[in-house]
Amino acid sequence: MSNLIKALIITLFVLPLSNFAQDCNNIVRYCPHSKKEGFVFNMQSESGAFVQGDTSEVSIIVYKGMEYKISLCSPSHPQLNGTFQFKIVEHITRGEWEEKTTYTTEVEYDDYGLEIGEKQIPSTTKKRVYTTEEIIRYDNSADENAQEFTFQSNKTRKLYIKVFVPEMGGEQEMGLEGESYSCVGLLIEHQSGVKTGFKR
Amino acid sequence: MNNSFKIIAKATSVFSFAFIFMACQNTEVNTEKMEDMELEEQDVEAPQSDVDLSVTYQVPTPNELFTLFSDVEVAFDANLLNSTSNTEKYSSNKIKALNFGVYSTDLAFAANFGEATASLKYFSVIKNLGDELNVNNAFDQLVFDRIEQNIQANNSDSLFNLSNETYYNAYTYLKDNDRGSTLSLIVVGGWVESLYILTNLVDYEVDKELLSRIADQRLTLENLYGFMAEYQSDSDVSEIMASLLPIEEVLMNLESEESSIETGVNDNGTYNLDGGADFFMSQDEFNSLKEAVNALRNSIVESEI
Repeated sequence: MSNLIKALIITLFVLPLSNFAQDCNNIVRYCPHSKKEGFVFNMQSESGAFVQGDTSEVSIIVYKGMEYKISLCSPSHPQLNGTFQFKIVEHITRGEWEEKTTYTTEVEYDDYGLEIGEKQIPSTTKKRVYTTEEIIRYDNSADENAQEFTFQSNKTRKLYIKVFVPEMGGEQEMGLEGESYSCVGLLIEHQSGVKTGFKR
Repeated sequence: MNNSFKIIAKATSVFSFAFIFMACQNTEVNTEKMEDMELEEQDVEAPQSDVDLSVTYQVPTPNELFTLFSDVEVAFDANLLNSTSNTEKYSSNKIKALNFGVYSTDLAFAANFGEATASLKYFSVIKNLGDELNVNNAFDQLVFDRIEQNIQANNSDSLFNLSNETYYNAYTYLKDNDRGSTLSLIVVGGWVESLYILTNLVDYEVDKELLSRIADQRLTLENLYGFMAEYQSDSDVSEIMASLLPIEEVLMNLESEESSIETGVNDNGTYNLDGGADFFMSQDEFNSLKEAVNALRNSIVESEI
């Protein structure tokens, strides 16, 4: 049974029957997948219940040398498909030594033991200062609102996917009338990275 | 920020691991200096930070990790698997859940190498443990029929996919039924076993690629802590989190080398994420890690935790 038919069945029969938040469980399984392109379902995929204007953030680990595809869908509210906004963010943490000199005051004496004043004794300590930069690796609003992001990474890394379900005005909004939530699937797929050269 | 990929929100907590989170900001590049600690010269200590529970932390499955075996030359070693006869020792739900994770990883390892007999044996033991843990949707007769068909057809790819599928079924069942504590224990058990297999397969002098993948597990550990943080009010979860500290101590203090961050676009519209940190592990660090992993893994499989 194709994913489209499954999605239709869910939309027409399953979702209206019961509580929305409950039914969002595992909804990502009904997002259109890219099996034909060789991708397999990645279990870091996530499902959730959104109201319009919601933002959510998911942290995933991507392995070196693998190809990943990230996409979003709402099988329960197809009118939302194509409107999702998302960013792929990486936090880069760097540690640097920072030298700090502090002074303590000591009384100074002459050769006869008489106090002649005070002197400042410098003491240098090193501190490790960590700086974190939030680097936006991809922003679909800067890519004609593309709804999928396919990439390879040369290192294993941790990424944050920030998902935003925009407010919809006019006729499109009508589809959500009377329902507090729409179910959204964050689909992550992967396959072994494309090799180049004679091994390809 | 709403947290739509989560149903339950709980209080923020602090852990000792080197986990840096920065709240969502609108700026392209956001820089923040973490709280300093006065240190003696040459001392390096990882920064401390909070887990942000508005973020959903995901942990890759053992199956996904083991796909790296297509890039490195290692052989299957049945001696690394937890003996199926050990199940007799598992009486509490905590130890059952931990070893459900251990056996799931063993299954992924065996299936990855097309070890049909071992795979079937581990499918069986996981099913029994699953029944005892009331994770009863992961394995039905249909799955077992498919496993046997694939074993007869010598189809290792499908066997691997089936092991993946059963793990996912158990995972989603527990998650959807608000049994996050049990799920946390399963995920930890699986992760510890995968690290046990990797550290015992690697030859420090030879397998530099595998060694680098082991060092990468620091990232998975961060997300593992983030994942468990939501359920730490459960004493079983908080205890297992504490037992990870010796592993954390090694992984979070590895030396790193930075390269410049670049994001490239290919002609076909796909992207390349380049740059960032490479982590290096000395022989001593590797030995310490292996020792810590072996100790924790053995305490799990021997039901001494």
